[in-house]
Amino acid sequence: MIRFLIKRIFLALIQIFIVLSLVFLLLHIMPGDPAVLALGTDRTVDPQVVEALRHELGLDKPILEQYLIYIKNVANLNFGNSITDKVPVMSYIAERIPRTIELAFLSIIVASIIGVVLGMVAALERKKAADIITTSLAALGISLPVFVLGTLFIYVFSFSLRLLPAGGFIALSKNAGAHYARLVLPVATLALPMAASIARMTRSSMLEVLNKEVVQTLYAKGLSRQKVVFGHVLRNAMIPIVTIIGLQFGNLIGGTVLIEYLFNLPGLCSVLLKAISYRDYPLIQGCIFVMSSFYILVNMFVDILYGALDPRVR
Amino acid sequence: MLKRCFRNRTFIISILMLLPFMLIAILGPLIVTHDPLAIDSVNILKPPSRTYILGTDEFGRDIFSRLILGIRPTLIVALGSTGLAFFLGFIIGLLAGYYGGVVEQLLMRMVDIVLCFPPILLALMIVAFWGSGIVILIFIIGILYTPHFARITYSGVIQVKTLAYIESERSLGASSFRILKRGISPNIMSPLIIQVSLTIASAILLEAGLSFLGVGILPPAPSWGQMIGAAKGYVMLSPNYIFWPSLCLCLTILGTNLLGDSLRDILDPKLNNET
Repeated sequence: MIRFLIKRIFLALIQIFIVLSLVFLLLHIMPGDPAVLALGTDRTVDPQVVEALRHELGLDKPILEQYLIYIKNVANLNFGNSITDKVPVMSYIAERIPRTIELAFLSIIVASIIGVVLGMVAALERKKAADIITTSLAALGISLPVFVLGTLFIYVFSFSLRLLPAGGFIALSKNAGAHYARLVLPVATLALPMAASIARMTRSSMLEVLNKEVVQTLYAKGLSRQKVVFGHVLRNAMIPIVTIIGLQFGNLIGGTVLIEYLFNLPGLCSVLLKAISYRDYPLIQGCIFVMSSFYILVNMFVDILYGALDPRVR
Repeated sequence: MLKRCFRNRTFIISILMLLPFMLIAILGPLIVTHDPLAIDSVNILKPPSRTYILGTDEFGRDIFSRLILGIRPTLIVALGSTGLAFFLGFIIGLLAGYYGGVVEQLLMRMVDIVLCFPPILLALMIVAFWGSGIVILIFIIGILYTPHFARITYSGVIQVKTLAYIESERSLGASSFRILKRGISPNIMSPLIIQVSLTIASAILLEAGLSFLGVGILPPAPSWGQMIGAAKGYVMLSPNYIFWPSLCLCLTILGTNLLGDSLRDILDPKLNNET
């Protein structure tokens, strides 16, 4: 287990390094000069201003040297300053990332609970009404883009029924009730499509185990239905379920980008979108790097969990 | 094969859902009632009327015409990127699986790099640095889904290449190319075909998401994701503006997903893992 753990952590570090390098490389092989583009293409730019910005961004140094400096800075968690307002990129990230992580984790928890419960019910009630309703809803759920679902929620719950705010952000320390009220719709929007995938996976994984002869033996041994389902079937069905929950993280990060935009949540993804529209390259690099690292670390965690659940994986 | 398809109810439903969209995509310009870019500043955000069947958007453009012409870019990006992903992934998977060793390490690790990024982020980054447009979108989304095809092809080749009939083919003097083309490829197609339909659905979703954020298909050319993005500001004023593109998008994705599900049942009854 320890060897597997070390191997997996090492792999994650390599992945982070690759992300780092690719983010650097993509910026430098892009057509056009980042400094010129950042200053705006609509007006004629003073060459001296461009030169100053190039110097400030370190673009006037040889590329290899730039790369080494970049690696060194990132290792010190220094992503440079934002071009638009000169604020250090790191302070943006430090301020915004807790919000994005809160949204992501609340959503995945809600999605896992709903998904696993519905999937189990569907598997146990196979071909009955509960199963048919769940599977049809799940098929619909995975086909619903989060931004469509989110707009629908805003329309119904905020504008028509006036039950919940349509978005925005209030700090937890200021007003906890208002803080969570503003998270209900975004979390529900993100969680439901994920719950659909998780429910589908749980259902098929549970059915596979339920069809094994072991289950009949367990019943024959005199175990109650509860004990068979929770003690044995669910445990054996858990591995693919954990995998799909882990896989959902990729979609989840994509989802948070769209959700923060839709609900005006000032998280990391909304900074990224703003940075993209202003061509603020240090900020773009910083955001992409942090979010990809987060993604890699979560995947690592899921793999380790997977290894702990199934010794064959190690 | 076709008979088996048409005995599957899900398959028929999905085809019935997708067929109208395909037809409209092909016949699009013949059906539209207005120029999708024509601005009518007097009739802004109007409800459906005789001239504008589904009403008008915030610039007074005809929603119906934009909806119909919005299918094309969506489908071109979805099909193009899936084609690219299939092509690249298939070749990488074949070579890596068949030759093994250094080739395998080199190719498969290269593919793994793409998986280091959350898909939409890599897309956003490339769009941020290189700009957007249909060609770039096809390229990005194609690259993003290459690993899936490469891995499926790779595991298929690994399973098939040690079987006796491949051995006998080789001992009869068949070249590597012939073995790959005639011996291996046809026998690993089923999971790839399923993946194609799932990837098309994901690609539509990703393109719509990027367009929704305003970094996908560039305005003023119409696309559904972009229409939803613009319409979200006018949900109260004109609910039907956001309703139609959302409905079309959902139906297309649902149809494609159902097609994938039914193909899975038809092609591979043993394969049960729904991801």
